Amino acid sequence: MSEDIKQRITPIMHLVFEDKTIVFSEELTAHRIEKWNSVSNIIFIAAIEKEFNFKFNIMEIMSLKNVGDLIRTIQKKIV
Amino acid sequence: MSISSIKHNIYQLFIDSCKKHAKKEAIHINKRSYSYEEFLSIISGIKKQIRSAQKKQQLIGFISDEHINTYASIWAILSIGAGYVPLNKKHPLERIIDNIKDAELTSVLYSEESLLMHELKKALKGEVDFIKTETIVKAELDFTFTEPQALEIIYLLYTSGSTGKPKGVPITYQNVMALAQVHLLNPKYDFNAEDKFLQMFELTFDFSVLPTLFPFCAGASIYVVPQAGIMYLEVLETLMNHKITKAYLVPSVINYLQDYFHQIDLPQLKWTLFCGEALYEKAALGWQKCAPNSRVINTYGPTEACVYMTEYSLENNQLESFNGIISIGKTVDEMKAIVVDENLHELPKGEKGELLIFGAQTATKYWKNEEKSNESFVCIEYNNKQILAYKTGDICFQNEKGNIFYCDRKDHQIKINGFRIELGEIEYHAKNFCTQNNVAAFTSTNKIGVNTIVLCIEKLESDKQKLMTYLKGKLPAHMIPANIISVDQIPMNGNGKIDRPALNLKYQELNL
Repeated sequence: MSEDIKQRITPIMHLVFEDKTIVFSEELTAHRIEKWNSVSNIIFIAAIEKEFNFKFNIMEIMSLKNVGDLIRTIQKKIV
Repeated sequence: MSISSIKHNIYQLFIDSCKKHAKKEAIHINKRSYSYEEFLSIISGIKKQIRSAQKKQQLIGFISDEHINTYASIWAILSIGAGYVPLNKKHPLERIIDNIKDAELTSVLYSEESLLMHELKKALKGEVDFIKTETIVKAELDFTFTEPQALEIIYLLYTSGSTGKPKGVPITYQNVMALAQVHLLNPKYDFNAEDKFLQMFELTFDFSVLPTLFPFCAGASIYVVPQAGIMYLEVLETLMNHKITKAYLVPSVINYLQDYFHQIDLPQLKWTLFCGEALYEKAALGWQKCAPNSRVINTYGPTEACVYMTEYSLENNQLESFNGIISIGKTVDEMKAIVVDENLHELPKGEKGELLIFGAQTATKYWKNEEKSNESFVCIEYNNKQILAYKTGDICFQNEKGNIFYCDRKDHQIKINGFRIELGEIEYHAKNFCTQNNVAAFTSTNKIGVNTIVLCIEKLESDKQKLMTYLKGKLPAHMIPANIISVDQIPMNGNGKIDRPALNLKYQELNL
């Protein structure tokens, strides 16, 4: 399932962070992507919610420290 | 209050606090707490390092980062009666070098080796002493300090300049102590040793003066928000996890959190003071519900007026706003503000004009910039006295109750996340790159209601990416355009000036 999630969020990251060279990695953090900031994070979260048809709560969003956390949270929410 | 009655030594207040609260937590940074004793020990060590440089210096620079030594460096500089000049490590190398040269710094403190430090040392070899500060938590405590003169500079901050060169704003010890009278020493803010203050600002941002100086004078603790993550989330996490009691915020933080207000509960927060940009009624009222025991205070002030000089408390008030933006309220005790016409004549209440400010918190000039100083600092007659006032460039009006409302800018200065930006500075650098093309920078509100910068180039033929890379070498990150667009012709208004609203409309039509 995580492979499917990865396939679906990678193009979202390319689009939102305006960088097609971003290589997916579970260790990836906002710090390492130039255009991942407060504004793009709001857009990114909204795009993920639309793609997977659910809503994050603020505690879930705060707990996302890297892309790996995001994958695991999505997995929990879509089962 | 007369200026002469203002104590001008903030360091005395700090040292008194260190003696009284030696074992208490002073600062929490990078997941570690330091007591007042430990903090003063680090300050004492850095002070010794500065003294060993054996130079009488009016101003000392430091590389701003999230390191305990950086916060200690500020107090070490103040302990010798000098002024500090923060240098943002994320700014382009060229800009940092320009700031160092412009401020005529001969010493710059830094906490960690980095590529930036390597390049700075190489570029300024023989001109500047770069002093790597040490963290000594068990050094001999040095309670001594040099008494500064009231009119000596306590800090020099650089703000965006429309002609491509940042402007230095020198703030004096007297200016800061005037602010201390209306804030730190004001009973309504109830500074006490039990408080935990939020510190979310980069140290080149003037709002940082409040959490980096004042809480220490009351024996309180400050909690430094990590800068590496997503700021609004880091702020919320710090507020919740450390049960922060008093918070200084830029409105952008709560704008980002609006969709989640119903999930946020901060009962321990006693007040939230907003500054730096427009505070929207909807967001402020929502925040009030998240922090039901917190007073929400909106403040206003340019860097030239030492952080803030008007305040409006939502408490016990019928909320007053204009275009959805909450009033900036009335001037604090040490300051005055009047709304004037083009001839600097005071306008009646209700009429819009430029806000002119004066009083004990106001700077008197820009650093080594006579032309800009003469433009912005003007002599006016007020109550039959000649006084020096600062022209803010903000278009405001005052209502019958005396509350001031911000309406617009007179020029092309904008605010992004609280940072003051002159669009002219972006255009200046863009024009240097695209010498043959007309350029115009403007702001546009994106799909989630956030203001972003757009740069428009007439008939751009070169690579946008190359232009972007060039700008990144000249401008700090908050001034880099979110988008660059090319148009056949930049629209002009009837006065032959760039028609920025028309440009924005064109941009919205492009649906980027």
